Amino acid sequence: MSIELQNISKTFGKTTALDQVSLTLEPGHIYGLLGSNGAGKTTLLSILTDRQRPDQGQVLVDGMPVQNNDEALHQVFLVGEQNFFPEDMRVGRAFRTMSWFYPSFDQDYALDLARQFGLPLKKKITALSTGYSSIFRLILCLSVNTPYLIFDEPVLGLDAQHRDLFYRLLVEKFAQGDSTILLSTHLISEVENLIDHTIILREGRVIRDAPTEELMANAYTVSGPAGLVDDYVAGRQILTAHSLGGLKTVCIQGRPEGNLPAGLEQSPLRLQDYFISLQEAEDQERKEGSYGYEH
Amino acid sequence: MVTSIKPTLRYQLREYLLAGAVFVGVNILVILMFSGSFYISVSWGKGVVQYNGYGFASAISLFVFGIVLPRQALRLGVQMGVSRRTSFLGLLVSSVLASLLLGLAGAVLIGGTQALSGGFVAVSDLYAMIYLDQMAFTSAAQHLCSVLFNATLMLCCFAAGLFFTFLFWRLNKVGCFLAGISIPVLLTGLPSLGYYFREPLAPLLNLLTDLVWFFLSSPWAGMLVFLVIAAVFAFLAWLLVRRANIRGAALK
Repeated sequence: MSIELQNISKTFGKTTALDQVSLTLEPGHIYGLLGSNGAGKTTLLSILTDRQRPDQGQVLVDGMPVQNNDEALHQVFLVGEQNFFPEDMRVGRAFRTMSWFYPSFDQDYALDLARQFGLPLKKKITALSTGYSSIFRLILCLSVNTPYLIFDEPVLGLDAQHRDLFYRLLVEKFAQGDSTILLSTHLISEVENLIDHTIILREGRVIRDAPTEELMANAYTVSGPAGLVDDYVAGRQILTAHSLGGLKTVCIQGRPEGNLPAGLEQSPLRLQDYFISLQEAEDQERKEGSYGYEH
Repeated sequence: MVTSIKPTLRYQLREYLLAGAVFVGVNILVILMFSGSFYISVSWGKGVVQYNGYGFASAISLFVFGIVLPRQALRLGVQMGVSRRTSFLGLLVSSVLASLLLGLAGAVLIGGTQALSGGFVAVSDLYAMIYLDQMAFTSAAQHLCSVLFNATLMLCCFAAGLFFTFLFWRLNKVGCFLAGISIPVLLTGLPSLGYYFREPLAPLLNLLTDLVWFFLSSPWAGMLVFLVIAAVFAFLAWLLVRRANIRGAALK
């Protein structure tokens, strides 16, 4: 029971959106799909749900290919920025229509969530604001009860209060044990405590695919006087280095070994900082032709 | 294998029937309005009010259905975990059912006005105009033929609409422009070309003439021609949609 993406490639004209992406989404996890703008996240999710066809590769859901397969497609529910509902459909009718296609759709729960979020049921979906469009889609995904739930930029336009409510509801949903969740988001700092497995895409390739804890255990920052820092990082794999006056902060890929020399301070890396460092390291690699330049 | 054809049909048929009900209602209003005003202003029961538009109007309506409804059906389908194959199949089945129901509605309209107006209002359709010597139907078999003839005509027009909507969906701006121009150019230009090059094109023109005579020979032949054209358009539409990138609708 899993979602497998096998050697997925997709190009749009001269642009390679995805390049031989292979992933496995096992049940019982909250996955974070992270990447810069244009990394290929939305394209990947569209291919996963057969909204787009890959140029190469295939997607299997519980062993079944998704192409033209209602049974496989029914296991996955994706909500993203785009609206796929008819222009004249109102929120309340959308909930009723959902229950036609998904007998597992909990309409009462959806109505309760609509009340909690203040979503008007009689409004046309296309007339909702950005925030309420997101809320509408979140409610659908939280209420549908399929084995795999995918949220693409779920909190777009949501205020802090609603974002907090969403995250709490997501955790409650996950705690019920029925669903595997995939979150694709730019707000890494808000979800880093939720996602237990991180996938990072860059320019159509997977550059990291590991449990979040493992990723964080394999990176740390060291800061202090520039000279001391330079001595310490010699021979280590550096992701990024920033200097301010005489002080230097370096992000290192690897586990800290032994005691730190006096004058230096070590701190764990947060997921967002790690992500940014990784992107900067990749940018540096492109400029200099070497990855994670050794000092 | 589990499919989502039932909810797909339920949703799509509802859309078609709503639209069809509006269409039939408008036709009834038009008939009442014109026959009523003719009765009051001119004839006081003398003469006959003829309404021949149901067949053409049905065909155009189904063409419009074919243009408007499929994209939203496909989009809703992908959101609801319905494969594009099932959605497309649902479109075809729904259109067949809708065409039959609208054909039946037409027969009821024709027979009903005949019976209720005592011959003052005569509603006819393409079937009567092409294949019968009289406007009014005189047998159940003719009513049945009318239903089926109109249904196949509507299906043919729906399939044409389906093809064009997916064609324009797949083409880029330049392609849409070229396709848009080519339709009237071909429709007006081909007959002219056929006339000017009638000698070298004689075999083709003879074939087309034979096809027209075949179509006119009997209503069943006419229905067969409509069904073949519908099948060709539907097949081409499937080729266009099977690898299409299905995006959400553009926001206003």
